[in-house]
Amino acid sequence: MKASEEERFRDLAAASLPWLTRTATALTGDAHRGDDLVQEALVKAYVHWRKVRSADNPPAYLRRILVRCHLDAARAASRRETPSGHQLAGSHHHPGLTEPMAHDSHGQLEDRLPLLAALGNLTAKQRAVIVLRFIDDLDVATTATTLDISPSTVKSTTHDALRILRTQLTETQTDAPTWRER
Amino acid sequence: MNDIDQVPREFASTVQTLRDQGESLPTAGHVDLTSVVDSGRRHARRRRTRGLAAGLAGVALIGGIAAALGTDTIRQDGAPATPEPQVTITEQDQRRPVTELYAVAPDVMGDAGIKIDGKIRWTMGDVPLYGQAPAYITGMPNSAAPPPAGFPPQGYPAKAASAMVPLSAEDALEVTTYSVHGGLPLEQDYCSWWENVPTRVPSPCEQMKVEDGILLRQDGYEMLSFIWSGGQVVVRPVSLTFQRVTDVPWDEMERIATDPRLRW
Repeated sequence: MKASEEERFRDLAAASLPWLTRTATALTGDAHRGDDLVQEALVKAYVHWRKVRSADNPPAYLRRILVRCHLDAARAASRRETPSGHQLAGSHHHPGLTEPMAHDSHGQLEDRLPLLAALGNLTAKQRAVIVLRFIDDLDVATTATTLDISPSTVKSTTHDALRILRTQLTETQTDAPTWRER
Repeated sequence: MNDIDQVPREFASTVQTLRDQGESLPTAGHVDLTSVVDSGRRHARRRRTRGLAAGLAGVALIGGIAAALGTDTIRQDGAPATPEPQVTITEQDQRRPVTELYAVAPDVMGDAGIKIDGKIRWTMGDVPLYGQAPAYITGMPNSAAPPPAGFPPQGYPAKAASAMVPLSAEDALEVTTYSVHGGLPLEQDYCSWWENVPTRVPSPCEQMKVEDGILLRQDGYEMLSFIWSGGQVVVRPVSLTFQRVTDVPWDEMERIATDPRLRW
């Protein structure tokens, strides 16, 4: 890649990092995995820079790469047998969810945890739809384009996912001790 | 922009919660654009090499057909112009004195992981985590390949098998090119067993070298260090916690793992 093109890539990547990071964290439920996802997506964007550069909306193309990477990883993970049972003493694993966040330096963990925990109960596709629509605030059509699915699938997936989330988030709020109870 | 009215009213509060909590998600991570560009360059270079190899193989095939037809040939033997990538571990590498060591933390699945190019590329199985030598190298967690036949050897926990995934030749090339973590000296019987495993993954009994790209990850777990020391794997828990860092200098890793205060 020419130096000037590389500079353009860096500019786009730098400008996109904040929202890429937020989206990736929401998709993976884990700040570290979110970083990995962002890195993977940006490397792919670099390799396919011509396509990214010539896209009508390069940031949207970046988002599409990010989400596809996430879905591909989820698909691969679902085919993989994963170790379970034995765990390190003192560690309570919830893959991809709470542990890494417990050491997150950004604070606000308690605010974030219910959301990430609830999202963890969705399928990868449901999660992607919810994140794109309500965290990235994309409309149905853009979400459909990003995920390469039909708008009606976006709507039905949104409905199913929200039904699950409503239960989860309500339970979380019910379970959490209130100030008065303490 | 999305309109909250596009979802049924019963979900309005859920959507609002999503939006509110979504705003508190981090927008600053640890992705280093220089590292991204470096990785991108390597991937792009590899793609070009693969494309060239495929093209040359095609030419060679045509040449082979042409030879069979008795016409002029580009390459009489019809063999691929570019050999399969091989991992070559030199004698010098094997002799390399290691204090080449690394400290790794278990990933969320309970295995120890080493990250290369932003991915966990090699993981250490659980066996060493529980202090039961020998350690072994497992493959890429993202691979869907099953464990090699015959794994685990008798007497080893079944769990180890689930983490055991062979690398492909391409992966091995990447590892060779970019970064291979320190070799693991293993018990002789394990090495003998490994030699019979039908996999292209280099035996973990062989010494490999470390170049770059290592990430340390803490995630709040106990750190473990694996040390090549006189042909023995020494596994010990390290009570220090580290922030997630990139490109830890080897000197620093060595210092960490040889700190007498960390001995158990």
